[in-house]
Amino acid sequence: MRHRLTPHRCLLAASILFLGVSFLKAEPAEGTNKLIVPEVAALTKSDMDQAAKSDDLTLPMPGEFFAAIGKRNRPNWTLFYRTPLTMTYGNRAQIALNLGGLIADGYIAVEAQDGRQVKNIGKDIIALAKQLGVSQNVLGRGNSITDFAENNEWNALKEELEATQNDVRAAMASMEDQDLVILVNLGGWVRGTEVVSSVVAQNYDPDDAKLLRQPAIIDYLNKQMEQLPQALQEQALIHDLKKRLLAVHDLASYPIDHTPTQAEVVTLRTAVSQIMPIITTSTK
Amino acid sequence: MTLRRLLFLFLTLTQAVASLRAEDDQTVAARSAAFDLAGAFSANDGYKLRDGFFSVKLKKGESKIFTVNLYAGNSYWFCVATAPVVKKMEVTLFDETGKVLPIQPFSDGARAAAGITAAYSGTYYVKISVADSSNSESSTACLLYAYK
Repeated sequence: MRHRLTPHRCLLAASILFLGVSFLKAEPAEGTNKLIVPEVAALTKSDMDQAAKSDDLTLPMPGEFFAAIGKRNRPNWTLFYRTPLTMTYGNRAQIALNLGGLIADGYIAVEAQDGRQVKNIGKDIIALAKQLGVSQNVLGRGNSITDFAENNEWNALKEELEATQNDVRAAMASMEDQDLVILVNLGGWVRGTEVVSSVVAQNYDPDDAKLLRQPAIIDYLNKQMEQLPQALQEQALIHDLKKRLLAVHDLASYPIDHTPTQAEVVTLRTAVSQIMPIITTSTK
Repeated sequence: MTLRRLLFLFLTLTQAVASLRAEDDQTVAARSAAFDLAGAFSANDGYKLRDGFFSVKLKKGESKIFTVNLYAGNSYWFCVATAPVVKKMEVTLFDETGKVLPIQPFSDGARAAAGITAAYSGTYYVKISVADSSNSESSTACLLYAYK
């Protein structure tokens, strides 16, 4: 059977081609574009100094850190589980710090694809959130975490954990507990760095070691700690944390082209690991 | 207080509420469009969306720079969306010294994205710009990112 190229068929073919191109344009997919270098001026020092910073963009979540470390050598994440926390803390600052740490633990359980552990951590998150009075906001998230864990929806769980952290932060802000939000972030970062530095120290790989370079994140956390109310800064817990965070800053501020040695990684891990007991030891 | 003053006060309040609501609607629409765009990377290529976002009002020719911290080896898409009156939105990435970085670009009128695989762990800068718009008013642009 022969097909004649009539004007109608030409129009139909052109329409299909146009629709196809439009669809590709609307649905971006990896690999459809090559790398380009935009023809724009480099940033000046002033541009960089004035660049906006926010928790949502400037501060990576523990899940991003764990995604990076798990690319080359998949760690045995179960080795980094903690024994259950005491959950009886004497002040809100310490609860906030531990809430952040627990959310990081949630990511570890997700990386380990351990549904039972995820559910246990979800329950602990709710319990701590209750002590801060923000449980209503995160209760729904706790149920979602359980559902996703039962259905092995690991990617959805990562997003749910971040959404839980954001809900906790939003609830704190609405309760005029904005000051404590930084402590949730700090608790998560300390726990994440403790785990990643332990992974690298135990199974040293130069590329993995480079992940531990994070001076700007520590600067950001330090600056936020400086903005805490004086009364909070005078608490022994916060005072001690600030001092130790400054020490960790120097240990994690490698030049961009430097690969941390195993000894340097061990030193960093030791310094970060010494922060965790300060956060978790009950003051009650 | 005269009737005229009462009427003026009422109109001013109505205008203010309308303006606030318009701003909220714009932010919601921009955020929704940005999440839609990033969602395509998530659905097609296994990227995980960050739950957070940043919104800012920009006019034609204006831009905003953000600081982000990325981990070496992770791949990222920075996605921005704004009101449909914007004809061309741009996303550019810079390293911690301010040097322009090669990106995988995506551009579709009021939506744009830049993809990158981080070569080092540390600070990067994301610049979003309104390159062209059909009017001179500012529109809310929303930036977020996805990673894997």
